[in-house]
Amino acid sequence: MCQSDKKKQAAGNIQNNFLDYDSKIANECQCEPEDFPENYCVTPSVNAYSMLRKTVVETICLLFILLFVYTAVSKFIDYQNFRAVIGQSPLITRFAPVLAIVVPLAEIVIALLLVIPRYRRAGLYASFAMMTLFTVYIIVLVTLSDKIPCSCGGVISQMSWTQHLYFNIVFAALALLGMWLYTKLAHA
Amino acid sequence: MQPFRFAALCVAACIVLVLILYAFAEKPNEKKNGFTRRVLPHAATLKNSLELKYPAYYIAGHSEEQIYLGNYSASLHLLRVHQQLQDTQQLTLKIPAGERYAWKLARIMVDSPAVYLAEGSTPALYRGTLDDLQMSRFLQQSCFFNVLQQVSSTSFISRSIHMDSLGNGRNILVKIKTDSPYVNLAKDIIKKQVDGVFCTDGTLDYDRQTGKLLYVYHYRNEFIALDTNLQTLYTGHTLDTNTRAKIQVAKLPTGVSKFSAPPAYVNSLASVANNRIYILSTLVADNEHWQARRDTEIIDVYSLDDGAYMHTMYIPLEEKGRISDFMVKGNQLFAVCDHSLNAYTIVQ
Repeated sequence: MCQSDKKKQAAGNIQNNFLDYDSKIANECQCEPEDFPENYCVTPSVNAYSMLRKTVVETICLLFILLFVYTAVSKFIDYQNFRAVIGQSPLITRFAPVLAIVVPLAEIVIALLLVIPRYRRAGLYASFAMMTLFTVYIIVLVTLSDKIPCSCGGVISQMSWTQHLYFNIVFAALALLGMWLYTKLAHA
Repeated sequence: MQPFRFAALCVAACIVLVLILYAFAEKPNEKKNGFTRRVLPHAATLKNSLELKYPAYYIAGHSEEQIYLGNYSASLHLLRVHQQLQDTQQLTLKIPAGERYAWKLARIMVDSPAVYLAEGSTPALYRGTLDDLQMSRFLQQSCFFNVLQQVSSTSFISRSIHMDSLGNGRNILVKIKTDSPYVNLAKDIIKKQVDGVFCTDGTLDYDRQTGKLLYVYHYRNEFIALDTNLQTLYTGHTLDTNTRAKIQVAKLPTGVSKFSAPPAYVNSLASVANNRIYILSTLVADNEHWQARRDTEIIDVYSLDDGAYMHTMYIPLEEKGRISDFMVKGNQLFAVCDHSLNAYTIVQ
């Protein structure tokens, strides 16, 4: 009973800041040693697992922050060019002026969500949605059209379409992994 | 929401969204183009096909029995192929040590036994012979150009960008000769429609038999036949109804111009031979199936005498991709498709 209470409490804490989760558990366990056999709550393996999970989730978030900030900034710096080049895509010619602002803005917002611990979960979900959208867009464009321009920003524009596809799929998979680990951490 | 349920929903939503975008996108040949063709049945049959080791080949010229291919990504490399598509031979042009030019922009032109290497941004022009391939600097008093057509051993026609007093560039034709006056501008042959550079893009060809030059616009239904002194002989029209180039150009703050919408190609390639004009069209006629271009290329044939339309040939394609360059020689049509050089027999 005591254990499940702790869990609830811990889960409540996660809503605020999952980074504090392990330390809180550890502190509380240390405070009330009489309730537990010494290695019941803080088994080294469980602790190591959640530490690993946390590190992985944080690495994934960091990768996404780097990716989105980098591509968004290079899009904004080269705005006129970006706007012209996405216009060349037959799928979005009509929406090019709007998308030229919305896409990099969305990337910045997602990066911010990932930075703020409260919104990290939303950030991971949004990253996944964004990468899926880009991936599906690439697949449709490459299958249905022969000459396609690219303007993803910076060095990422230098990749071939196949490289792009793999790059996107890897990042989408990372986001999915992040979402899954995050959920596991929250319900652990 | 559970991560995996969210992921599944998200993938589905993205597919739907992108497919909606695709459904509303403008597709070429979706609407009727408003013209009809006379298609000659079985006008072209594939005789031979040669696998090329590298991509990015273009046709540099031909001699009596040999075809010469240059390569966009290796500017000194020249491939000699017998017209039966046997006996390929790799050649390398030799230029003097220390010469500098824009490597990827250089193009080879073969006028057997002479061979030329031209690059218009430096500009640099080299001349040599097919026997020893020793290239030497030639015609120092030339001008910048973006297309060059060799006419004789002493004269060339180039397409160059002319800057007006306001700093707006537009394409013009220029005759470059080895003797004075070295450069002769013909400013009014190519007609500006949108920006002067992109809208006037096209192909420049020369027919040695008749001494006629032909400029075919990419984005409008027009071509111009000229003599070697750049006097217009006539202006001809291709079948379709695109009198004005449907392109959008954005001028960037850096001074560079870029397309800001997909350009509507009309005539993508052209070649002159047998007193005829062969134009590879990207548009489908009203009396053709809308997917007529799926596994064929459409070549319209016009008379070089007056530009009158004669008939249309379908060039069957293999799976390897579309024609990126072609040439007609007698009753044979040679086409570079992705990694292969195809030889077709065509009916006259």
